[in-house]
Amino acid sequence: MSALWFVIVPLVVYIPMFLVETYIAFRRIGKPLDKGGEYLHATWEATHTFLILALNYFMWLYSSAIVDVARSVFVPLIIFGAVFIVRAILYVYLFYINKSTQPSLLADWLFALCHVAMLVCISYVSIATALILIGGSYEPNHILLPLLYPGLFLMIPLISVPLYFLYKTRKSR
Amino acid sequence: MELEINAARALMADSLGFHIIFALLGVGLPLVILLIEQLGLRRKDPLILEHAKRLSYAAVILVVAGVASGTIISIQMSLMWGKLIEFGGPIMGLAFGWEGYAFMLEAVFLAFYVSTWGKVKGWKHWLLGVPVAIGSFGSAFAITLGNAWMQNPGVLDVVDGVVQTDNPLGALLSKTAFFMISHSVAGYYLATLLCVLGIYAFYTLMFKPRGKDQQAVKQIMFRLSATAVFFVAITALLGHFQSQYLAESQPRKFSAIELNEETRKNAPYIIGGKWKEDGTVEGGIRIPNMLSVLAGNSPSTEVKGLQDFPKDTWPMLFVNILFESKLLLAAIISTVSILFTALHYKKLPEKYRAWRYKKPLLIALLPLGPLAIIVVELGWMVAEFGRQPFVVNGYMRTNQAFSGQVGSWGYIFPILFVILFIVTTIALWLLFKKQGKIKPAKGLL
Repeated sequence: MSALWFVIVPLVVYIPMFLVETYIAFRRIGKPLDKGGEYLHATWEATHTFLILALNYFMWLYSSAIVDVARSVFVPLIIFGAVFIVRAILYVYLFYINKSTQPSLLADWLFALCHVAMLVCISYVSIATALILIGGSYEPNHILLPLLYPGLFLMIPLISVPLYFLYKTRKSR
Repeated sequence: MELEINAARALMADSLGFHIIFALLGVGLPLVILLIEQLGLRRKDPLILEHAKRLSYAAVILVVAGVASGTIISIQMSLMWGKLIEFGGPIMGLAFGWEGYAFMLEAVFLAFYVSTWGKVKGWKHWLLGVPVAIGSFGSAFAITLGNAWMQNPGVLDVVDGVVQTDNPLGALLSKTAFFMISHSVAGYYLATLLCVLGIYAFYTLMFKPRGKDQQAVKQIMFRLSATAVFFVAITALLGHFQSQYLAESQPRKFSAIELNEETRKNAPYIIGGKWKEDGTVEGGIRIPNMLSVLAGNSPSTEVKGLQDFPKDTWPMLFVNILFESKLLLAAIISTVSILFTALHYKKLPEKYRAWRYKKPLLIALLPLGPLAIIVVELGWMVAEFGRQPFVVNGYMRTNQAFSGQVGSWGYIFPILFVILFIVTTIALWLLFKKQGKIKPAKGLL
């Protein structure tokens, strides 16, 4: 069970942060950058490190399950990856290239919808993975845990302060 | 099946090749920004601080692209190379677990650092950038640690296709890891310094700064070039010692890179030769004894040859061309950056010193950054192609690590990467174009 915490905790932290960003992505549709069209710029990278952390830990702590899981979540995971890049492209376009006062409705909508697509894919992958883990007998790499715990205990207090201030400040850029 | 495996390899190579560009800039830029901010704070120059601020926005754009491509690599690894993860999980998992922490430190503090310009001031703000540099170094450290284990895993105990260990840390920390990490990270810093130096050369050529702006740009350029020369020396020295250790620890790869056909003393160093199918070298200029001297500091050093290894374990033989190209480009980069820095020497006659900011030298500085990125890419290609046909050297072949289909889905990624690259380049171009109008911000000091 202790290995599973390394996957569950980052996911639990990630979901509300991701939902906040999804909400803001929809709220800003059709608004110029200087009139409500801003975004929580720098937080997105911070938010997604939690997803990457969960993915990373699952891959390496449950390496015995990875082949079976990968086979069953192949398509949603590929779609997630593709949408993830599309979102990054739109992010750079909207906030660093398209500086005009006229909002780009199509890009705004696509940007917001990317969040929904990602959420659907992540949910599917998480549920499918959980079912596979419950149904099989996969032994996690317990040997790694003593070497990963110290990092976790050090990192949580270290990053919680800047994270708190980032989300407290609405316009982070 | 063979076609599927080759498609998966091509896809992985494409993703890694793309990711390395952003990863190396992500590792190097925090250090470069700290150097410039430190210069601005020491000289109490708000103009220099404004330059550091602009660069930190560039770092955010690069992190967006880096996060996206890095995540795709994780996904591709688990979808296509699951058997490698299964095989090496008990050891490699530690490196990738640590990478997660380091990346988190980097990303969270970068966001905080960028959003606190003008709110947190002076050295306090500079200190907020330190965890970014530590985190980015840590990411590179951890990832390369995992790769170094794949290059030279030592003696392994494998049960039912899984590595057994009671000391994953001991398995990861090796001399190979030390050389790979130090040499590659020094290379990332060098490449980033040269990219930013090129940006300021462009700025000088394009906007012809005057007065305080000119002074600030010159100070930044000197600091960047002097640090670059330091990293030129470090990278070259580490590269040399790394090669010597490679001859000892991975002789198969070393012989392929250095065109050494047979095991011998007084081995010649061959420049410009080419491997033939039968493991002999065609053409090239042979410098007698030189390879033995480079490998072991003496002409009597015995160097293992490629023909000593079974043909089905030979690496991809074009690695020597990649390696020679890398050396040639590294020599060009080193010469130009050393020349530019040397021209700052105060005891030089003014007629020579004046050449520092003349058009020909500034133009010569422009391509150094992209060339250095190519050198890093070539270095990784040599490391990865040179390890073939194994994914974990000596234990697991690349085709044994393949676990799933790529299908037509996979082809979407190279296309998206190209679009992301174009968009990122445009965004960076627009950001730096603004520097023509750069104004000292009062709130930064």
